[in-house]
Amino acid sequence: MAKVPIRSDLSLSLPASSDPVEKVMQHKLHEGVASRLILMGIEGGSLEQRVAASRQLRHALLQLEHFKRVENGTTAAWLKSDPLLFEYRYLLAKKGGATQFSAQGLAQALDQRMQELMAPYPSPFKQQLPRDPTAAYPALLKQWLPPSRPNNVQGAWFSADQQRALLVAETWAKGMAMDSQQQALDAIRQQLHQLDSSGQLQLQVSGPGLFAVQSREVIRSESQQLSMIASAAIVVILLLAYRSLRIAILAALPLITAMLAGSCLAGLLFGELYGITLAFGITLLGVTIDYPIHLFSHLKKSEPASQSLMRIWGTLRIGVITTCIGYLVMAVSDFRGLSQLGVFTIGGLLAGALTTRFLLPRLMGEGWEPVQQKDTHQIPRPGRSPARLLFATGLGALLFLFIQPTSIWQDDLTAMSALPKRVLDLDQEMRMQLGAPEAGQLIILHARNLEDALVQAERLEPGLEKLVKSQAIAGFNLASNHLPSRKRQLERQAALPSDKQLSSSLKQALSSHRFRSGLFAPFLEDVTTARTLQPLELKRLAGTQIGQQLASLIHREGDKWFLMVPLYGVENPAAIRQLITEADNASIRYLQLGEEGKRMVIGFREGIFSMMGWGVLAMISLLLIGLKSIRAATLVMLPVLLAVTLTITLLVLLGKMLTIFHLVALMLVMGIGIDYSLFFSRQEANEEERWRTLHALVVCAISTTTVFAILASSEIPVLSAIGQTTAIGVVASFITAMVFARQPGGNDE
Amino acid sequence: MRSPLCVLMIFSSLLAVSVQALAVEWSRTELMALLATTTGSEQRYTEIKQLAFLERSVVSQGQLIFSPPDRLVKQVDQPDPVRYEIVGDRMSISRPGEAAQVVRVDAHPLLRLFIDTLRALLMGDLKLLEQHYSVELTGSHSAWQLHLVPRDSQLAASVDSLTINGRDKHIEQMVTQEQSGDQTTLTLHHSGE
Repeated sequence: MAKVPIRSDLSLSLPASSDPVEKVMQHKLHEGVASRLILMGIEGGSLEQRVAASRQLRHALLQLEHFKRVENGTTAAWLKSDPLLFEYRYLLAKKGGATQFSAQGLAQALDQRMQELMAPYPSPFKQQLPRDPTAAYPALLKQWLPPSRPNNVQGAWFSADQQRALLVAETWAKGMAMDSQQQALDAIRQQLHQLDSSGQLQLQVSGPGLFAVQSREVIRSESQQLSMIASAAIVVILLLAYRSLRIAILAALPLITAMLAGSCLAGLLFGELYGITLAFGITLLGVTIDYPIHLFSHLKKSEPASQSLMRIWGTLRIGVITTCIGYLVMAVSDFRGLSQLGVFTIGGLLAGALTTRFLLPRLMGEGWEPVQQKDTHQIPRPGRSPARLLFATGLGALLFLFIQPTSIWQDDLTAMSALPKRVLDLDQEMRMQLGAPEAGQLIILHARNLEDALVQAERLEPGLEKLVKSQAIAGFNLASNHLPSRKRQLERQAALPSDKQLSSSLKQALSSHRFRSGLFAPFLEDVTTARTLQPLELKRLAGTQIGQQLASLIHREGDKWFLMVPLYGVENPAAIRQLITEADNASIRYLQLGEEGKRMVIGFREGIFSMMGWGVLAMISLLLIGLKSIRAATLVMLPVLLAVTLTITLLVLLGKMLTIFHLVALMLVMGIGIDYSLFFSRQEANEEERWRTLHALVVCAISTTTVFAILASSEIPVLSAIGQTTAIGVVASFITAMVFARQPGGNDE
Repeated sequence: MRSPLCVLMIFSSLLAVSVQALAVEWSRTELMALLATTTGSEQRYTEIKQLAFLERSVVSQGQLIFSPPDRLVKQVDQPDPVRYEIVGDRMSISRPGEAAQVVRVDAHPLLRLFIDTLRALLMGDLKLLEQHYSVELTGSHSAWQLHLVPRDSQLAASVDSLTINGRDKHIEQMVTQEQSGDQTTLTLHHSGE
């Protein structure tokens, strides 16, 4: 059990998609280069200290095994000439074309080289001059520079105000491989701490890996803290209710077995557990604390515990089974996270109920009964009019919900993040300073093979250039810019001059220059070689810097090749949409992830909603079978649905936007409501027995409301959503169930 | 065994070493202090570039202007007029009849280092020089020579050494020896003093 791997990402929110493009996006999100990036900022100290720290931190991190690359703006990496790319420069570089080899073009190039030689500072390309007088290679490096780059101060990246030095590291580990990410993050903190002897520098870290780790930490520590408070509260309530420590301890047994059983079952069926399943699931299993309470309140001194249990088992059983049926609908859903949650909860509920049925009575033995008022006088019963009033209120609430002018749903994914807003803001800020592409703005195209995809990209390029000119976008990053299609490379190759042509043009160009004779023989050789090169292929670029860039732009999924085209500084999405429409090609799409994400959330939410509908139907049918009476089933279900309606209305009135987490909590409310309803409408043997049932229900309601009110105080949106919904829902369920309770003997009509 | 004489000899040789060290240190700092008194300068120069890529060496002439702390101008008059002007982080390159080109110095670490070296020399910033070069001073006040060998590997890849000859507070000649064998000799003409 301890070995069930726990995934702490929020994939629960993203159902497995059937759309190939969405699939690629999800893959990129979880495993792509972007997910492996860690952004770092160094603040404090003097500018010189920050520059030095940036350099030293990069150097120190590169010695560690965690990082594939670390960049801080040092240009050296770019300038390091790569023999392979140098050899292919005439096939890869856009600039120049055939005119660069004419006598006039060469003369111009030589003029420029001469000026560079005469400059009062060293040229980094000087040694390449005899091979590359037209400076095709530097032009190529320039072509490969990202469209927007951060501010550079003394060879280090900085924010515009120079207050923050910026670095980017790529880990070998995937962004969602949390333990490795945690190690990488610890290493970064430790390194900066070591090299900052003054203690004046502050490190800021961000990135998907960090988010995952932090979400896990936040959820873990917050749930731990809250569950400790909640447990303490429950113990106090139970002690007050039963005045026995043994009882308070025994009450925890079903909950504990429920959690173990739930984890085991979900772990067995799915092989891994989403952290969020665990967090939610444990919350949903909170209802199992009610089972022993029902038992304890019904214990009598004069009978063994097992006999007391049998008096309530029928009611308890139908409640448990009904609730399980509701979750079964969830368990068989397509959404992996939800189905895990369903399985986890069903396993837990059954284990909790069975513990109460078979284990607790043995442990209790006999001869104990709770200190309670065993008044034999009648419990006051609510009359018909409160029920009518409630029913009318329910109808009014339903109407109110239907005529809401604005959507009551929150479909923005980020609003559901477990992280505080300032963490998300910092990430956004650092990304902007680093000149990262627009988050969630992207063109994606696909083809049967890489060549076709690259040709498509090349066709798209003039249109994109136009968008840059008209300032609809600030830039774009096209894979064909790094690796042109075979077709394009062959075209460039065909345009290269013959040996004879080139040497005569060169001779002419040299006539007015002072370069040593024969200096450019290597240039003539290189052009000759370039004419016979096989076009460059992707696999030969593996391991090079360009190869790394391409890895983030090219993705292969089965027999489909996808090219991502990140966009920078998007000002006019409509112009981009128009370009894509004009391209009139179904394999090219413009994605706005914010919108896509919303669409997915809406789909997900609608999925849950209809599942809840089916769940309610399933519960009603079960109640019909179990209670063998339409009227009885209606009387059980009506207060539950009324309570759900009132809860939603109250949340809306409180100004809450509903999320899928509210919906999940409503499932819990329904389960609890059914229990209340069943127990309230039990046919009791005598007034004393009624008192016992009422005692149990009051203890249940108070403890559940307290626990979820504590959860509602959480700063994590997910937890507080569940807490609020359930706390309100439990109170509403208690009231409606009480008001609609069947009169004794069922002869109230 | 250990005679007082022996102790004395060791002592005196130690003394000699430290005095010598003191002397060099003193004159190095003194030189820097002298250079630091420069309040700005405007001097004509002649530069000879001997480059392996060219048939003959190229002789050029022009003017060097320095206004502390960070404005440096190299105005080439002959043979091809061009003006390099560096102020802070910006270097503009202008040729007659062409629009000026502006380069951000900070984006090119090598260029930044090269400019900082010049400024450090002109302003007598020994600390900065020692940070980037091993510095050796020989000669006397009236004829000194500073020999700088780059510590930075990036710079060392292209520059072998810088040799500066001077008299009192004046730099008279600067020789840049490149790894490729290329050599640039810049001679400053002091007028009026």
